[in-house]
Amino acid sequence: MKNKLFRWSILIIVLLIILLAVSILSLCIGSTGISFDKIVPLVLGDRSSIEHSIVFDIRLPRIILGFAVGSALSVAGVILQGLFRNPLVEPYTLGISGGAALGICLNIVLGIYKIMGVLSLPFVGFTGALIVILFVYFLSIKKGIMKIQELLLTGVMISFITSSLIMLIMAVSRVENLQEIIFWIMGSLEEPNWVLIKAVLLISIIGVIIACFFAIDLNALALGEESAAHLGVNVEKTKKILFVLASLLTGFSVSVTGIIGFVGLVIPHFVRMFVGGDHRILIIASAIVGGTFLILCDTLARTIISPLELPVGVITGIIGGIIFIYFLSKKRMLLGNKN
Amino acid sequence: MLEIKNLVSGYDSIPVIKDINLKITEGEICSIIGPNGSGKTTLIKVITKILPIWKGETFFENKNMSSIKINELAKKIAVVSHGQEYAFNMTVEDFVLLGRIPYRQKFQFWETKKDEQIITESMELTETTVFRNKFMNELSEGEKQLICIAQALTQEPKLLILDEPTAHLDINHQVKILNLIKKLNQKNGLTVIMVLHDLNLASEYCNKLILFSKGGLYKTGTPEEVLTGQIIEEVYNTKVLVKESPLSSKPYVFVIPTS
Repeated sequence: MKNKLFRWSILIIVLLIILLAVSILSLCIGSTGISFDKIVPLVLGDRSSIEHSIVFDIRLPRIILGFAVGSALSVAGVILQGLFRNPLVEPYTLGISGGAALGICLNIVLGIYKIMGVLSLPFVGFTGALIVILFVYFLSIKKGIMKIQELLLTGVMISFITSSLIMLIMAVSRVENLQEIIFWIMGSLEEPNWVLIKAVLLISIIGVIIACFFAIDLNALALGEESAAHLGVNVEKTKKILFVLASLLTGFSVSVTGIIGFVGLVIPHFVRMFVGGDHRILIIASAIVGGTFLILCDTLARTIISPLELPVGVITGIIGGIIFIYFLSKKRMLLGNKN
Repeated sequence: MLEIKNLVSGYDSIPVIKDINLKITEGEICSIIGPNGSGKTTLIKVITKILPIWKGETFFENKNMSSIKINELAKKIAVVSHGQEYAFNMTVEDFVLLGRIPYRQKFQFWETKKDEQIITESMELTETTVFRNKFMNELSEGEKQLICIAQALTQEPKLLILDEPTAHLDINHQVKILNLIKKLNQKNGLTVIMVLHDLNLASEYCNKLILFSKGGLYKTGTPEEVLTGQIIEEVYNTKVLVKESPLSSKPYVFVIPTS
């Protein structure tokens, strides 16, 4: 088991190096290329140049936000897949993103953000997510017991309802509103507000740390709820805390960046293939890999047809989808004994 | 060790077990038998606090079980469930390690030296050391069952409960598992309760049988007392012939085919 500790430490170090490399790459490339040897002097001083403002005001915020959201969604995915013992669940399955999207659509259509300011968008988005979370949570609890399958079904249904309502809003809204709604739904890491970026980063880090404390409980839950209880795990309490934790991570991310798909589904699978089903390493590794993946996708999104920008959700969807199909062909590793 | 008084419990609002009184003494190896749906598994769920008690009381080591925390209980009672699932593939070692969960401290993230030692011991005891670095899905059903017992042993329990430990196994593995359980009972002093459907295996391996019928306790006693043609016909609604086994002189049940 010393062996395991050693293996995991090496893995985390390697992943952090990759994260650093991808971040530097992302700082360098873009519509204005900045060579690698210029990055260090820029970081150390020389605040006046244009390159400084490109790196620190445009690219760095995106990288930080990309890392925060990528890791939040991945960890939420790990938690939910562990909780539902279902490898196909992802943070958006439970309708949380739908709630956020509906909130933001209403905000745009009703023109609230024109009166209350742009910050009202993430605020309303989070309110929408929170309403859905509370709704799903209380509907699935009967006599103090959280029925996990009912939770899943309720979430999927709420997802359908909200997306239908969004389509309804889109069908009756004006062209300029429509464009904004579509832009938001596709997801973007462009966020001018530093406070918001810092808040998302802080929440992600806290979320990952809390999730780590429940890693062993998640390992036990992989045996089924009854077996986990036989091992002395307080199953009901654990389920409730983990559901709320995953939901909040998702809700915060979605309300700031819009719906960036596939990260929360694919990254947990990808990491599980390499590190196995132990949630202690799975959570940490997924957080780092998820963050790196989203930074990389965002870099691609803003360079492929530069100076124009593709929605990052499109890139994560395409890359994520291809990775997912590839892994499905190796299903035995993913689904354990079931196939 | 375990005492159950006037117990009533069930699912939702339908009572499944009614007014059970039962006493298990330390060192016993006993089997719960009875037709499908007679409340055997339900009783186990109440003993392990999965299902709430509607009426009555349960005591473990003279302590009312309602006052024992689930985490403390997991250090005393280990359960080998029927058809153990595991959602994500894991190594045998990681699977057995889960049995140490009741002993972890708050915020403990890493297994201790003692945990490792106990894993090694329980794998030696169940003769599963060779599988240690294999993945769970590489094992046969019989091997998996042995691993599940190894996991239960790492809980260092005083009472081991097994739900149909021999279901879906070939006779080699059936005998292997029951021999192991008997060895654990005799050499390690583990008290054992198991649900068995095979009356002959129950008769052969257990010194006490607990016969359930329609949610109630029909009869408790030695195999000779419980396994009579008349009782089996009444409870199972099946005609059988009961003879003495030529090997162990325990009762042996023959089914009678009808045309």
